[in-house]
Amino acid sequence: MHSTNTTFKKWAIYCGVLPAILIYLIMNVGPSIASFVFSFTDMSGLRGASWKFIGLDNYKEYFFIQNYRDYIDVIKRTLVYAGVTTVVQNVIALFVAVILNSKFIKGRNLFRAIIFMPVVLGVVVTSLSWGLVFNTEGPIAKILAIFGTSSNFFGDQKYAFMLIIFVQIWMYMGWSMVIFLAGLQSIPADLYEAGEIDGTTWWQAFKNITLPLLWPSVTVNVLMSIIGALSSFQIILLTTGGNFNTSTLGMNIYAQAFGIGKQATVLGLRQGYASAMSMVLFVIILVFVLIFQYIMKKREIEI
Amino acid sequence: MKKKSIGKIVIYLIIAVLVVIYLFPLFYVFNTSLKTDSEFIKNTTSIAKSFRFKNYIDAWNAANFGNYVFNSLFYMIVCTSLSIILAVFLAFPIARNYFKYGNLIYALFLAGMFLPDGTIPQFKMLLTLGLYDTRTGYMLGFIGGGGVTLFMFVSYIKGIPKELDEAASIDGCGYFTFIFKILIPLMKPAISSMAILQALNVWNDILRAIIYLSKDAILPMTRGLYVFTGSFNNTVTLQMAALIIVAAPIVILYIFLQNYIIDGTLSGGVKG
Repeated sequence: MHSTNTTFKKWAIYCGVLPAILIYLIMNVGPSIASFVFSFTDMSGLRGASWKFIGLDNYKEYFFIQNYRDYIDVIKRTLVYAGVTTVVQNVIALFVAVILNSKFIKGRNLFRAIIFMPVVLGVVVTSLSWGLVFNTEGPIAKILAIFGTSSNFFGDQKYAFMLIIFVQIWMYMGWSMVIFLAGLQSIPADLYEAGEIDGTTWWQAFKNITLPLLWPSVTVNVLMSIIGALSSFQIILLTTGGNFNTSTLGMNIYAQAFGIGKQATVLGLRQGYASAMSMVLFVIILVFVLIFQYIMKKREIEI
Repeated sequence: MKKKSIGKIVIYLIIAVLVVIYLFPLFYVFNTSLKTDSEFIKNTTSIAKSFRFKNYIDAWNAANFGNYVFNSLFYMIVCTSLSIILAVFLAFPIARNYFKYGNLIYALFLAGMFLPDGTIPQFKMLLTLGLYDTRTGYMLGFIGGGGVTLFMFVSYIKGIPKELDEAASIDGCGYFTFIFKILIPLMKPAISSMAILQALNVWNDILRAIIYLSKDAILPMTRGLYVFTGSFNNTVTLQMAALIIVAAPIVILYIFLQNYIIDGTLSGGVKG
């Protein structure tokens, strides 16, 4: 129960709390709920344009009327994007963190800082830099030429998506690595020393000491990468604009709602329809988070 | 013994490869930014010979970069300080159980992190209120929310003894004076790490800047750079000079503050 407060004036406390709650309700909770309501309307992006409720039409259109293969492709691509980045990014990050945690490494902080740098530089600098490196006459093109092949990189139907996944991993790997490193450093060293006396191999130590004790960091990292990759599309927007088979659900939603990216329809901004799509994405994220929490809980008990 | 040193070499080799993968893009951009346009077209991978620093001046003059820098700083400072202050004022009574339904509101704020994306209605609302394409409208979205920040602050304040409040109020210290003069200085570690997280978030934003802003005069640096590099009037070398203009201050700041920045994002990440 809340204690009666005798220290400070009640009105002052309420005055202090009010702005935060109001802004939160108006800017976050309200729009989130409205997003659900919007998905049943034919709202456009224009100011003052009339709109009406159209029931489930947006959902029907998304799942049945529009080209069936299109939306299956986009959802598949969204899942591949999230799955591949999450797994690869965390495996590499864990590997690098373990290496950097070796006792003999000098300049650990410097390497950590270099790998973390893209997070600080931000998505615009990252995307534009890689855009230049993957210029059709740039350094990578020259390397490919040695092997007798070529590619249009971010303009390539086949490889653009893979490159975007690469850039995404490049950008956020440092984040996961830093979290793993912090987790590793909290593992007491005498555990390994005890293992050494017992003659455990490197792999045994990793499997039986490191991984179980690192489990909280794994949980945080995997959850953050899944949610991040499912909902973020900034790199796609800044490199291909959603062209060349790279658009994910998140990208499609914003293209429909705000006309951004290179795939934006000339039909105008369909924000009701986009809201319905964002509900689909929300359900996908929710399902992932729930499955993930279920698996992690089970695993935690086993350990 | 020999086996161990081979292992060391392999590990250093892996690190070296990583360092190259992480530093190459920036070096390549920097190198390109120092070339003349014809030099770049002739050979994209040659080392810059002409050291054309004039590219920077040209890029700076071609677009309103001084203005963009100012806007970014302005947005970053205002949004960060406001959201931190609001969160402190909310976190303190929650941590102390000083107001009714505090725990309920706390739970609501934390659950908010899992609500669906409300950008479309938010946009609609700001448009209707006439706040589209204004500084206020752009910043409002960064100020609310902050589930992670609130969580961090509540748990941090719980570690500060309650006797302090009583002592302060007996001495006749008002509530707002108490928060600003006593509580906030005590919360420095928590505040600085959350402030860094929030500041980075605002500084690097591009999505909201694309959706909510269009007037050139109020664009932040990210969007300015995006517009500048998207224009065919600007040569590649000029675009890269602009990119360096944007990236250089961050890199320099990062070199000095790397430990704070990494630890700040870390505490936000792990606790969130």
